[in-house]
Amino acid sequence: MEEFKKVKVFRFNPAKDTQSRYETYEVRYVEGMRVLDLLHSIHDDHDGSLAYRWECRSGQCGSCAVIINNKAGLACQTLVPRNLAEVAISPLPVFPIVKDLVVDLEKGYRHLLKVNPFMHRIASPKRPEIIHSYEVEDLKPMRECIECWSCVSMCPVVKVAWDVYGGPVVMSQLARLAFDKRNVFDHLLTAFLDGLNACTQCATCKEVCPKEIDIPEKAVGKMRYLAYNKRNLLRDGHKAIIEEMNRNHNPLFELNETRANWAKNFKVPLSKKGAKILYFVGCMASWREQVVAQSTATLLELAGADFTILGPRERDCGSILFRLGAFDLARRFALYARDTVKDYNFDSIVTSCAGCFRTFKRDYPEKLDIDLGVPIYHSSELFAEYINQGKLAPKHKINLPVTYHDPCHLGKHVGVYEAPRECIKAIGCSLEEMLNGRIKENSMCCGAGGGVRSGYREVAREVASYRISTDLPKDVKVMIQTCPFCYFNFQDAVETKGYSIENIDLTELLLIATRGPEASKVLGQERYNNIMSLSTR
Amino acid sequence: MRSMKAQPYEGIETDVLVIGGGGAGLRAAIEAQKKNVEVVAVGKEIIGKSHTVMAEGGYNAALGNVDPKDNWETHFSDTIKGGAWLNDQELVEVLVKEAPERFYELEEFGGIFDRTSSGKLAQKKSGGASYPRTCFVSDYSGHEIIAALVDEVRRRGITFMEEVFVSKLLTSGNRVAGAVAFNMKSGNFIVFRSKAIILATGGAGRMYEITTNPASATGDGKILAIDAGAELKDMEMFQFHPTGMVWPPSCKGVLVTEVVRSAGGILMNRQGERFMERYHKMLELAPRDVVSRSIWREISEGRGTPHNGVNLTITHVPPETVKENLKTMYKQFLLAGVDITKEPMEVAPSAHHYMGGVKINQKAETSVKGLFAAGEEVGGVQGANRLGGNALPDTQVFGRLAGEQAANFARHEPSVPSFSVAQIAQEQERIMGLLAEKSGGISPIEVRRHLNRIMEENAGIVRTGERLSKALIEIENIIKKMLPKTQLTEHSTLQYHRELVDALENINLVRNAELLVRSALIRTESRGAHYRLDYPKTDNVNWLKHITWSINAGVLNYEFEPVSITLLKPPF
Repeated sequence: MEEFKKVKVFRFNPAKDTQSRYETYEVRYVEGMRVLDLLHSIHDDHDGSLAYRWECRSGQCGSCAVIINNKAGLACQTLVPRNLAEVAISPLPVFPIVKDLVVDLEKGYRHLLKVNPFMHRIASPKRPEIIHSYEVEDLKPMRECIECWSCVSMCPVVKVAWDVYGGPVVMSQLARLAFDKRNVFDHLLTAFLDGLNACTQCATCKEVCPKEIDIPEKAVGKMRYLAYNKRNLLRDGHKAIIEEMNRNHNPLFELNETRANWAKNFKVPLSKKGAKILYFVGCMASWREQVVAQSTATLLELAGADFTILGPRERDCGSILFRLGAFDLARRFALYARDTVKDYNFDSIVTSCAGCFRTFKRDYPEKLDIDLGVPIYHSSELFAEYINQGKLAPKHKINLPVTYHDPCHLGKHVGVYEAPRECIKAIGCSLEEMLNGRIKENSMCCGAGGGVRSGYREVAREVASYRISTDLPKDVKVMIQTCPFCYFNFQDAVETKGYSIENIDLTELLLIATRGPEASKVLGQERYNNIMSLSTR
Repeated sequence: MRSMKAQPYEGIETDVLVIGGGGAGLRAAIEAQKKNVEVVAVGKEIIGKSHTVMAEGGYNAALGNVDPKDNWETHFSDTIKGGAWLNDQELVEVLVKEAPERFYELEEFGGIFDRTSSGKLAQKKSGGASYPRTCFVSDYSGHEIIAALVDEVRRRGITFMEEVFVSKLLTSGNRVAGAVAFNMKSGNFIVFRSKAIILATGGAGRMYEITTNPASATGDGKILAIDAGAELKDMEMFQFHPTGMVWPPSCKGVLVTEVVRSAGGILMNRQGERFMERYHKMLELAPRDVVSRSIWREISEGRGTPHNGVNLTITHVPPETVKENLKTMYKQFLLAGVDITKEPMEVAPSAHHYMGGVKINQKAETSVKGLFAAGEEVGGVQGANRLGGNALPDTQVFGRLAGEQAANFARHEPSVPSFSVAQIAQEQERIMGLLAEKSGGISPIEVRRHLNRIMEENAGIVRTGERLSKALIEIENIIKKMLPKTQLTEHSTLQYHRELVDALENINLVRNAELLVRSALIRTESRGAHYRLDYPKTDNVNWLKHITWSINAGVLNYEFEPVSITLLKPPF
C-alpha cells in the first residue's frame, strides 16, 4: 500500500507575496527517505517554483539546513519520520528570507569574519612540518564544522543578543584556532570579547550539529578554561564570584553559616548522623528561592524519608566554577562533597536544583574523575517514586492548566524528562507542553545557564523573556519549574517585563496537593492563596 | 533582426575573474591575488560547498613518508599507466612534481592532515598506486582542503561572490573580455569585464542518473569555454567510481570512498566470492576503471545483491578503527540502517569524474587569449582514467598555475578589451526567453530525467556503437525538440529560481553529453574508462590520440591530436 506524508512547507516569494504562508503537499513516502527527497519531490512533481538549497546530499557541504519539525538539521541527513504523518519544513530563523526556504546568510558571515577566523603565522614553517596527533586532538573535532548554520539558527542567545555573542559556529571556529599551536593570533581574547562567557552551554547547538561537535563543552568550555587559567580573562561579575567561592563557599555573597536560615521555623534534621539521604539544598534554594527548600524538606518528611540537610556544613556544588573553567577550585568542592558523603555514610543524595544535579552526575566524573559513589536523584525523580509507592498522596487535586519548562541541566544534559511530568499529572494539573516543539531534548534554555546570569544579566533576562513570550501555550498562565536557577531567572523576566504569568516550583504544587490548606504553613498564606486563586479562575 | 534592449545589470570590472568556487577556483583566486592583481571569484554555490568538499579519499603527493621508495617519477608512471597512456605527459609532469609543495601549502593555510607516529604527514595506498601516497584526514580530506582554502581566501580578503550563475563568456575576437551572469540571491544581472578569466567549474556528473556529484556539477565551464572558442578534448572519458551507494533510493550514487578499500575493504558477489581475484592482480585496489567494470560484470551476469550491487565488507577490521578512519562512511551507512562494522555495504559504480575537458598547455592557457582553466574543467591531465587521490592535487597544482598565469597575463594587458555590447543583450534575451511564460512546454526536471536515463542506459560503463547511436539520436532530439520548449513554473523573477538554473544547466549537460557520446562513437577501441563491448581491445596503433572538439562558425568540429609523450615511452 502506498503511504503518503503531509508536508507543510514555508512559502514566500518576495516578487509576488506580501506575506508568507505554509503550503501543504501530499508526498509519497518511501522507506529510508530523507527530508531532502520530500523537497525534491515537491519541486519536481508538485511545484517547480519552490526555492531551496542543496548540493552534496551526503551531509558534507551543509547547504540544505532547514528547520524540520521545529528543529534545525540538514535536509539530506534527516530521515523522514516513519511514525509521523506530517512534516513541517521552514527556513532557518535569525536570517532574512530570500525566498521560500532560502535565507540570506550574509549576516552570519559578517559575524564570522569579524573574528578573523583563520590562522596567523609569523613565518612559513620549515617543511615538512612535524605535528603530532596528540597536539591536534582537541582542535580536530572543531575543524569538522561545515558552516551549515544550524547551530546559530537554534541558539537562544543568538536570538536575543547576537551583538553580544557571536554564536556557536563562531565559537567552534575560534576554538580550532585558539587550540592551534601554529597560530600566533590571540583568538582566545577574540573569543572572550565576542561573548565566550555569554554562552549558556545549554547544548542546543550540539543537539542540532550534523557533525555532533560538542561546542558547549569542547569549544566554549575548553576556551573558558584556557581564558581563566592561562589569561585570567573573566567578566567582573565572575571574578567576584570566584573570590566569593573561595571565601564563603557559595556564589551568592552570603555567609555560609546562614545556609540553613530557611529552616529556622521547620523541624528539619540538620547534620544528622546516620541519615540515609542527603538533601543537598544548593545555593539558590538556601537563600534566594527558600520556598523550594522548605517545600522539598517538608515533602521528604511527609514521605517518611530518613534524610538530613547539612546547613553550614554544606558547601556549594561548584557548578559555576565548572561553567567558568575554574576546575582547580571546583576540585576542592567536589572533594569536599565526596568526603562529606563518605563521612556521613549516606545512601543517596537528592537535590532540588537541576544545576547541583548535573554537576554531581556529570561534571564531577567527566571533568575531574570524581565519583560521589552514591545514587543522585533530582527531587522530582524521588517524589515521582514516592507517589508511585504511596508514600506521598497528592489527594488535594489542583485543577490548573500548566506548562513545564525542561531545565537543560535536568533534561537534555542528564535525560530526566518524565519524572516531573508524572508528578504534574499526579497533582491533577493539565499539562500543556511548551510551544514550537521546545520541550525535552529540544527545550530552550531559560538564559541563566553557563554563568550567563552572573556575567550578562541582561542577556539572561532577554532569553527568559523570549522563552515566555514565544513558547507559552495560549491560555496557560503557570510555568512549572524544577530548577531554582530557571525559576529565579524567569521570575526576573516576569517582574521586569510585567508578564502575567506565575512561576511555581514543582515542590510547591506537590506540597499543596499533598497537604491541602495546611501547605499554607510552609508557603505562607499569601503564596498559597495566590496559587489557589489561579486554579479556580 | 529586431533590436534588443539590455536588461539593467550591475557592472563589475576586475583584472582576473575566477569562475568556480571549488578547490581549483579558490586556489587560483589566492594565487592571482598574491600576484597583486584585482581578483573576483564567483561560484554557483555558497563558499566551501562545492564538489571538492565532498572528496573523501585524499591527495596524492609523492612525499615518501611511509615508503621512502616513492618519488615523483613513480607517481608519474602510475598516473600515466592508470590513465591508459592518454595523459598529456607534460601536464602530468607538472602535476606530480608540484603536488607535494601545494599540499604543504594547504597546511600552511591552516589545514591539518593525519600524521604518522613521527608527526609527518600520513599516507595510504590508493588504487593503482605503487606506494602509499595519499595524504588524508580520516575520510573527509576534501573538507579539510576546502576549509584551508576558505581560511586563506578570508585571510586575504578575496572577493568571493556566492550563488552567481555565469551563463556566457564575452569575447572580443579570440580574446575573453568578461562574462554575463546573474546573482541567484538578488535576481540581478551582472556583467563582468575582466582582462583574464579562469574557468574552474568542475565536472558534469549530473548528466547521469546515478552519480557521486553534487547538484552543481553540470559541466557549465566546458560549454562556456567551447562557446568562447576554446577546445575540449577526451570528452568520451568519464570515470565511474566503483563504489556508490545503491540503497536507499535517495542515496543512490552517493560516494563510498576508496578509503574503504585502502583500509582493507573486500568486494564480494552474492555468492560470497572475492571476485576481484578473477580480474586483476591488485584486487580491490586495481585502477578504478577495472574495478568498476568487474563489478558491472558481476551484476550483469546475475551475481549481484538484491539492490543490484555487490557487497563491500570491512567487518574484519576492528570497529574502533572503522569509526575513526571511516567516520563519514560509518555515519552515512548508519543513517541508512547499515552498521558497517557488522554488515557489508551494498555498492555499485557511480558516475564520478570527467577526465575530458578544456584543452590547456603547461601554463594552464586555453586556445583563447586570456582564458585559463584548471581542475576537473580540464582534459588531458588524467588521461583515460584518473587514479584515486589524483583529483585534489590536480585542483591545487593547476589552480595555482592558472591563477599565476592569469595574473601575469592581466598585468601585461593595459585594459579590459572592448567588446560588442550586443553580446550582453543577446545573452539576457536568452535567459529572459527561458523565464517567459509559455504553455504546452516541458519542465526542466522532465528534460533532466530524460537525459539522465539516456546516459545511464546508453553511455555508461560499458558502451556499444548501437547504444551510443541511440543515445545520440535521443540527445539530438532533446536539443531540437525538448530544450526549446522548456517551460518554467515561475515567471516573475530570476531570484533563487531553481528551475531556471536547472534549465540553463540542462543545456550545458546536454551539450556535454552530446560531446561525450559523439567522441565515444568515434573512438572504436577500449581505453581506460571508455569501454566498448564491440571494440573491447585497446588499439595503440590507431588510437593513441585525443579527440578534440571546437566550434567554428557555429559548427561543431573535431580533430585528432597526438598524445604528448615526453618522459615515459609506451612499451608497445
